[in-house]
Formats: sequence, structure tokens, C-alpha cells
Amino acid sequence: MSSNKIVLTSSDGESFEVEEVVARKLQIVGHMLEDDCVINEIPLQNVTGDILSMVIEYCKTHVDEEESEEAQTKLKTWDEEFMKKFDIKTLLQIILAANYLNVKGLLDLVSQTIADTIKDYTPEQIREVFGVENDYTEEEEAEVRKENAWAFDEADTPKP
Amino acid sequence: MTTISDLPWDVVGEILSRVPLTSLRATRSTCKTWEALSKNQIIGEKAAPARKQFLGFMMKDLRVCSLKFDLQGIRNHSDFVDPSIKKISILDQVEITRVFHCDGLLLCVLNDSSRLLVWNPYLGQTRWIQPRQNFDVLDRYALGYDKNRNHKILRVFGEQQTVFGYEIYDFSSNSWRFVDHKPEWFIWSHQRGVSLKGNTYFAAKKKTTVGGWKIEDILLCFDFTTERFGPSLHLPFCSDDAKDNVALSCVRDEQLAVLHQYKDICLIMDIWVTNKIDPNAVSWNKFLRKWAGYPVDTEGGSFFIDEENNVAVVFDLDQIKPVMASAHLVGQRYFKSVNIGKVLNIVEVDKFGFFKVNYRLPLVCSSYVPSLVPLQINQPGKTKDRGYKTKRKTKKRKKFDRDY
Repeated sequence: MSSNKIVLTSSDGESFEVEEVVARKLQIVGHMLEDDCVINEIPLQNVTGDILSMVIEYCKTHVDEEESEEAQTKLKTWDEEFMKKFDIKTLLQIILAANYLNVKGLLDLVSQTIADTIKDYTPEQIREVFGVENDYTEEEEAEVRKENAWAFDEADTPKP
Repeated sequence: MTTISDLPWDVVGEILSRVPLTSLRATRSTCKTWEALSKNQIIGEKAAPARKQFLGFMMKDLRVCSLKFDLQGIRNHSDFVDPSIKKISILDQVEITRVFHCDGLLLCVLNDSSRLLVWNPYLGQTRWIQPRQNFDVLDRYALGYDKNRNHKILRVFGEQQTVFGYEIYDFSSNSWRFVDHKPEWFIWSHQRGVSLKGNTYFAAKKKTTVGGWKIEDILLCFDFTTERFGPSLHLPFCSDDAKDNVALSCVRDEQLAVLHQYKDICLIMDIWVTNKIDPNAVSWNKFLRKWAGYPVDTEGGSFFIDEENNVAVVFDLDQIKPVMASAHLVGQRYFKSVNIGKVLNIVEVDKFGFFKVNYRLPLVCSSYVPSLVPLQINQPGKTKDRGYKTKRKTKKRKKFDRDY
């Protein structure tokens, strides 16, 4: 791979100079580069500088994905530590960016992290943390809960 | 501020598909959109990586229980394994002896042989199935579907060592169809078939006269598309009598596993897993050989295997105190028994007047993956032009099922 540099510019005008191999981890950039035209600067309209910097940090670390088990374990540990840095709001912004920039690995990682958070929550907590509006009537909610009355969890059964 | 409602639906769906099944209740009752998304996303292959533990159903004391078995501890060498068995209260009013899983549906066989119950746990729907004439305690059942995804039930009937024929119940027509078939093989009534990709496999016995009259073990596939039993398939062991313990289990709805233990010679337990299986061909790989030190109960010995941790989990009665049920975790260099509670025992008087205690064995069925297979109630013998009556009855039936 050549060490061609590419400048990525965020919606709030922040610029990041990265190697082409790193930039190509953003599939949206990869597609632009595929046309073989010489592009040195790519504006990314839907992502702010602070979020873009995190996406780039992820891509830099994952730039050469080795097959060996040792390398995989190391990456996995790095991923876990990386995710610990962010609160839910930031995670939602990152996943939005990862979706727009089309970074598959990061999309998977953040989805899993958010899912792991959800699994320990009651419906009330989920609504509060994620800002979800409850559109069930009382009867409807009772019905859904009843459908799942058999579900595997037992300790955290919500009080009726 | 970014909230989860700012994300595109497919991203939210992607997140929800990774939430483990154990948290179904919370995600589904959050809001209507999440309920709809989890329905779309949680079903199917996407949900698979989220499952880090065995989730399924088992029989215990004539009740269906959900079973959550976390085996992560084996890999972490912390020796901690955690089975959680929970009786399902919504099925509490009937006594059930056997349960089969296929495609997110559970077929429950009632203790009084009066009718069958099919349940979709994810949708909370049930459907009662009445017999064509009658059901019998010796019936062998299986649940499957054909290539058009029509779900069907197979009922093989006869005596212990003779099959008189079989019947197929079709969910779409809500009726039974009898097939006259008197094969040379038979299936012990305690043998439970295993459904794999819609078809069901049975460990069966075949009477042969080659080199003297004897009984050999074979594997049989019932193909729900052709509604026929396939040819005798090879099992990876030789047993020249019918006494050995043979049990089947399925692995990720892709492969079949078989457990075999010589009853008389030694107490070695062998487990094989297929690397290729379809109704006409099979090939096996050895998964485990272990000196178990005790005989696994011939009528029990239900099991599942965990490939990641390289262990088999065998459900059986405690050998010293048969009133207790145990889950034996068997690996190449690993053995551990976990007590899973008392079992019901039934005292019977045999034909010589002796008391015989029968224990209700803990029977595990294959791991559960939710599905959206509806169990709409079709009224028998009703045609569409009598819509009004059918509708009213359906409503009544639905209420009944809901009340369950």
C-alpha cells in the first residue's frame, strides 16, 4: 500500500490527515477512491470532529487485521477498553457516524456494546436512558409482558 | 442531543438483534416500535451470535421448564456453571410428559393422552390438537415442516417393537392423514426424535436376519416434504443387541449428535457429531469418549453439547439417590455433576405384584430459537362460506387460549 495521505474534514470544519489505508476503512471513502480520481480532501458532512476523531482512532487500530489468535485477543481487549470510554449518548453518536461512514467493524462493536447495556435494564430504565417514548396503553403493555411470562429471566421480573 | 430514535431503523434493529433472548421481555415491552423491530430482527440467524449460553426447554416433574445453562465458567476455569430451571406458569394447568422443539414451536404431549398442545413462546400463542381417533402412551411424536414451511406433526403408533403405521397432522388443513406402513424397524417409545431443518431423525432398531436373527441400531429420517421415512442411515457404533443406551440431540440446528453407551460391557460413553447430514446420507466425527463410571439411564440420557467448551451436558437421575436429578458436564478431561433438584416418583405395581418406582426423568430438548410461526386456530370441518360461525368460534377459542 502506498502511504498516500488523505484529509478528512468534519461537518464543523475540523481536518484530519490520515493514511489512505486508514481512510479506506471508511467504506464511504473507499467508494469515492475507487473511481481512481485523485482526491486529497474529503468533506464528511454528517459527522462532527470529536466523533470523527474516535472513528479514526478505531480505524487506525484495526488497519491491519491479523489472523493470529494473539493479535485477535489483543484487538478484542483494545475494543473493550475503547468502548468503556464512552457514555450512552456518545455511543449513539458513534454508531450513527459508523453507519454513515460505513465502518462495519465499528458498527458491530457499538451495537454489541449498546445491546449489552440494554440486557440488564428494565423497560422503564431503557425508556429513560435511551429517550424512548412509551406508546403502549396499560392493557397492551400487560399483554406483551404476559406473552413473555415464561421468559428465562427471573430475578429482575418487573413488578406489575 | 442524540437519542436512539435518531438512529435509522436498521441500526436499531441491528442493536436489538444482539440483545440476548433472556432480555426479550424488557426490549419488547419498551415501546411498539421496539416490539416490531425485535420481532423482525431477533428471529433468524442474526440472533445466533448473541447467545452465549444454552437456552431451551426441558421436562421436569410433568411440567415444561425453561432452561438457561451458562457454561462460560468452564472456559474461564472458574468452575462455575449455572443452570437456571424455571417452571412455565402459563402451562401449569396441564400435565405434560414430553416436549419437542422445532422452528421456535414446542409440541407438548399431555400425560393423559387426550390431546396435544403446540406453543409458540415468542408470540404467546397456543393451539390444541385433537386426535383423529385417539392418542396412546406409546405414541412417538415429531414436529417438523415441509419445503413450503408448512408445519406438521408426525405420530408413529404401534406396540413397543412393532409399528402399525403413522399419521401426519397438517397445521394448514387442521387434519390428520393416516399412512399405512408396517416397516421392519421400530422405535422405542422413550426414544425422542430430533428435528433438524424441518425433518426429524430417530434412533431406531431394525430387525435383521443376516447372520442370525438380531436387532441393529439405525438412524431414520422422516422427511416432512415427502411425508416418508428415508432409508436406514448409519450410526457410528456397533451394538448387536437392543440394550444399549442411544440418545440424539441437535447442534445449532445444523448437525446431529448421538450419545451411545454400551449397557453391559463397560461404562464408556461415546458422543459423535455429524459433519454431513441429510435425509439420505450421514457421516460422523467423534466428539468425545469418556469413561462415565456409571450407566446413563436408558430412558433418560437426554443431552446437549457445547462445542465451544467441548463438553456434553447429560441430564439424568443421580445414581446414588435417584430421587435427585443431575446435569452431568462431561468433557475429555472434565467431569462435574450439578444437582438440579428433586424428581417426582411414581410407584407402580408390576404384573408380578411387585412395587416398582418410576422416576420422572429430566428430559432436555434442543436449544430454542424464537420464530414467528403463527398458530392461528383453524376450526375443523368449517369452510369459508360459513365465515361468521368460524369467526365467532375462533374468537372464543382465542380467549380460551389466552386464559391459559
